[in-house]
Order: sequence, then C-alpha cells, then structure tokens
Amino acid sequence: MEKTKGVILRGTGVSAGVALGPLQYVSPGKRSSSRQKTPRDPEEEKARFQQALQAVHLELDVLIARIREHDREAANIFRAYRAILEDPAFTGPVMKKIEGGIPAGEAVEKAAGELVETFEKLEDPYLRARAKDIQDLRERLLASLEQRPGDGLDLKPGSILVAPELTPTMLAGCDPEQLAGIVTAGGGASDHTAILCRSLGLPAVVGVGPLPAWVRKGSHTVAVDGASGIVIINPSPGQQKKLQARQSQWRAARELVKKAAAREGATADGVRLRVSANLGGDRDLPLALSLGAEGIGLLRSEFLFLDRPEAPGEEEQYRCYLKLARDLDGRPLTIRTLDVGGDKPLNYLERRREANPFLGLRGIRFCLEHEELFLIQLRALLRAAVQGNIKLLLPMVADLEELAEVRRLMKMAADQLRRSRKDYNEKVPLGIMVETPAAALTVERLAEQCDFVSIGTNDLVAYTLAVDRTNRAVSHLYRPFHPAVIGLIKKVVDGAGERGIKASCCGDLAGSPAGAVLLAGLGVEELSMAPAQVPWVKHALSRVSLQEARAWSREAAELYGNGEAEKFLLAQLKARSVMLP
Amino acid sequence: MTEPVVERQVEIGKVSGLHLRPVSELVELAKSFSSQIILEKEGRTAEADSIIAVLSLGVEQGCTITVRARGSDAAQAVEAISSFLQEKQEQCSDHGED
Repeated sequence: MEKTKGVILRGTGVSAGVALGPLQYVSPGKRSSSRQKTPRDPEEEKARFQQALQAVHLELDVLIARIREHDREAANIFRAYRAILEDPAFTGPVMKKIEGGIPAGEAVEKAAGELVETFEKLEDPYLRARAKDIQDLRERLLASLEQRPGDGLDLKPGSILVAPELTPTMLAGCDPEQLAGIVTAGGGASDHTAILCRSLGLPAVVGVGPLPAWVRKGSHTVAVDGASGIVIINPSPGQQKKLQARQSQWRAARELVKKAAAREGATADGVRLRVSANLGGDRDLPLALSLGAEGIGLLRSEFLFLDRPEAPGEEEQYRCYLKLARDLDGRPLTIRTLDVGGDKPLNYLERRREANPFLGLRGIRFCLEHEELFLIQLRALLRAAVQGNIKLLLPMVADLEELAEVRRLMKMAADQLRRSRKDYNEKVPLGIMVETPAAALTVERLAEQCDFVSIGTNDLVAYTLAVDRTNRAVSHLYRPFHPAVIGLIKKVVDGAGERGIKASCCGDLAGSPAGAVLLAGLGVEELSMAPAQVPWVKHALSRVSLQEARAWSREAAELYGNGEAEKFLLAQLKARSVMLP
Repeated sequence: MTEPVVERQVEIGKVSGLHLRPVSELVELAKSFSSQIILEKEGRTAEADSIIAVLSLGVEQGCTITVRARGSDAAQAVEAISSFLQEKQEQCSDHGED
C-alpha cells in the first residue's frame, strides 16, 4: 500500500526541540468494557487489583524521581496521585465492591466514578477541576489491570508517541530512554503532560486535531517541531532536510544567544540600552546574572508580604533588600513598593470583597490606605539605599496627589529613622510605574515630580484596550502592539524626555525580541524582563541599528490590522537574521 | 491509661488554600506521626492521612480549622501540622505581571 507522505499537522508547540523517529500510535481508553461472562473469584480479583495498584505506584515513583529535580510543581501533582492510590478512602470502596462479586475493572470504575462525583460537588473550582486527575488515575489503573497497549509498549528507540490524548500516567508507563517526542490530537499548553514534557526536555506538540486513521496501521516516521508546533508524518527527504536544518538552527541559536548574554545590551550601532531582569523573589538573582542581566529593573516586593501570618518587619525587609543590592555588585536594583490588591490579599489585613479588583484598591492606593505598613517598607528601603544602588518604584501612580502623599510619607519615615539614629539615604531615586492611560496622558506633570518612569505594559494594555487577558472570551483582543498602546508608550517616552527623565519598560513586551526592538525605537532606555529572555533580547538588539528601530516603530504604529504590527516587526527581524526563542 | 489528646485552632494562611499539591505534603506529614490526626471544619471532620478526606473537606484560605491529635506524639503532631498550615508557601508561577 502506498504510504501517504509528507502529511503536515499543525498544533501548539509546548516543549521546544526537533525530533524525527518511528511513529508509535497509542490507543486511548477504548476499553473492552470488561463485562466478564464467567464470574471471577473475588480473591483473585482482589489480587489483580493489588497488582495494578503496585504497578501504577511504581510508575509514579519513577516519574516523581525523574522530574523532581526539574519541576517541583509537577512532581507534587504526582505525589498527590500516589497518595490517592494509598488512601483507604479510595481502595476501601474498591475492595468492598470486589468482595461483593464485582470484577476488579468494574469496581475501579465505579469507585472512581463516585470519587469524581464528590470532587465535582466541591465549591472550589480548582478542586472541581481535579476530578480530571482522578479520571486519569482510573484510566491508568484500568490499563494496568487489562494490560492494554499503551502499557509497557515495546518502543523502538527514538520513538515518537502519537495519540489522541496522553495522560501523565500513560507517559509514565513508557521507557524514557526510548522516547524522542510526543504528538497529541487534543490537549493544551498547561496540561500536566505538557509540563512533564518540558521537564523531560521532550519535544512535544499538542492540539493537532483529529489524527488520520491510517497512522494506526503500518509503520510510519514522524517529525516533530516542538517550537513551531508543526508535525510531519512520513516527511519527504526535502522536508527531513529542512527539519534537520531547523534542529541545527535551534542549537546554534542557543549557543549564539548564550554569547550575547555575556555582552552589554546595545544596538548594532553601539547605542546602549540596559537589559535587566524582573524578579519575584530573592532566589533567582544568580540565574538572572548568569543570563547576563545588567540590573534588576523590577523587584516585585510582594514576595516578602504574601503567604505569611504577619507582616514582615523593618529589619527583615532591610536585610533582604541590602543582600540583593550587595549581590548585584553595583548594578541598579529597582524595588517596586508593595503592589497588592483584591486578588492578592494579605492574611494579616482585613479582606475586602471588591466587585472589580482590577479597578479597585491596588497599587499605590493600597499602600496609601495602609500607612503603617507602607512606612515600615519605606524605612527599610531608605536604609538599604545607603549602601546599595537602589531605586524606588511606585506601582500604578495616576496623579500628582499620590506622589505628594508618598513624598510626605517618605519624609515621615526619614524623621522616624533619624530619631532612632539609623542611617538612611533621603536622596534615593523615586520613580513611578505608568500603567494607566491617565498616567500616560499626563506624564509630563508626573515627570516633574519623580526621577524616572517605568512603563508597565501588561496593565497598560489591559486598561487601554479594556481587556482582561485571562478571560478566554476576549483574550485574543489583548494586543500589546495595538496602535493605541504604541501611541501611549511614545507619549510617555516623549513626555518624560521633555523633563529630562528616562523611561524604562518592565512588561512582557520588553521581553519579546519584536517588542524590545519596538521599544528601543520609541526611545525606551532600559528593558526589564524575565531572566530567560535577557540573552534573546540582547541578541535581537545587537542586530538592529537605532535608526532602523526608529523607522520600524514609526511604521508599526500605523498598522491597525490585528497582528500586523507584530508581523511586520518579526519580518524585519528575520531579515536581519535575528534568532527567535 | 488514656492517650493524650491535643487540639489547636489554626487559620489557613496559604494564599492558594489546600489544593492538590500541598495536600500531598500535609498527608505525608500526618502519616509520619503515630497519633491519629483529625482536621475539623464547621463540624465536618477528615482524617489527615487520607488525601481524599482532606480534599473533600474543602479547606480554603482564611478559614479556621481545628487540628486534633490523639496518641503518644500528639503534641508534636499538632505542632507540625499547625506550622505546615500556616507556613509560607512557595510562590505560584508568575503570569508575567508587571
């Protein structure tokens, strides 16, 4: 029979890398519904169940051991699965049913079904969603009971699993040495399986849609590109060549980018831009520095305040800020003051239910409402700023009164420190985060009263386009490259510039190569991003002259079609041989 | 001779409440003690070594539960479980916020 060649499937790449290998189809839970005609001996059924329990338990042990180093969160999920297997609340009902004469398979189905019902009744939506995990476990147990294919598969070396759906425990049943990649018809990027693939470094593409029926028979090869989300079944020699090229390109890109990390952030014509990192805690600083971060453009100080029974004291905060500043060895550390609101409540403060937390008591408003708490942080910051190159950043400032209030409180904090004879730096640079249209449109007045501005594009985009990025119904409308957003960014940079103030950017936009080049072209002088993005942005900037960046930004600002501006920028970058992550 | 019973009220301090992840740690912790440990919320109880029971209890952030242990190591058990429930939990992954 003629093999169908070069069939291309497109899905979502969830784990980068390129793989080419024999296609191994895995059937999902199409179980031969085990209605045993001959009644089985309950003792025998119990023994079968115990065996299945042990087998799955072992698989989970292996899985946990393997991923624990890479991904604690994923490992914890499987530890929970394991705990469920050990829980008499699960095994008890199964055993009872078996004793009642029901075959093991059916007993597992029924007991799991009852559990799923219990979970689905819970109030917490997260817990309700975990009913899916119970179903996954059930499938695994049933597979083990029935010794179905998809279970201890005879994998050829370098196999690529192709399945309608792959659950983590199905994955656990495979020999990792033989696996080279994963393709599924369904699934999404935040599924447990995707997380697992990333931890294992397995190229994976999900959501390719219904698989052609003929893949189940015969032998085929398949190629997977986990970055672009492209899958090719029986690739032609030409396609294979392209894929191998893609593979080497990917490897080369990583090398190149590593080198870029070591250099200073600058455009092709030598114009300096500081490429810094955003940090949400004190643990990732060494990683950020190793990736070439030239400073911390945003330290989200919330980590000191959340998840604890009482507020952090002045001394604790002071020591933390100081240590970070010292470890930065002179590079700037921009600390954003406490930025919490309705969605990130503090355990030690009265919680308010807000109808619209996004438009509610958050950012600087929250701190001005909780003066005592704010004063403690200000004191700690003023003290740390004596020895460290520290700058203060105020979240979501929208008008002059807020700034004036902060200045008043800073003075109060300074007075308190003076009285207790503690050293402080009253000239610590103070900046504001421009996150609202109001702040962007009045930045000239605001800039008169502060030392620098940082554009928080994540929230700025949301407030400007009136879109909640996490709301699936409208998330496609969240467009950082929208002309309205570009226009506001330009306004901020120009307005601040008129007052001799520098503008930086710490939103996601700064961390994407296209966004970074756009911002550079608009006149932003410092970009701050997730540590992993630092090398890629430095590399992208190094291939583009400032003149080009300016020209491109002007042109991008006129592109109103959905995605046009970004496409345009990416095309320019590709033409300059910029490697993209 | 009756075994000691120790009891304490604890307010759940974690931002994300008791979800599938940390519950496994709680259960493993409870299993490490010989005492029988019970969590009580609004009159309903759950044995702390049963992950399903604890999950079904539906514990959320900010709620107060009673930790009760009976056995030779009851005091240590209550101490450990209470600390766990109030302990600083590692941050959930950022969603790239400003």
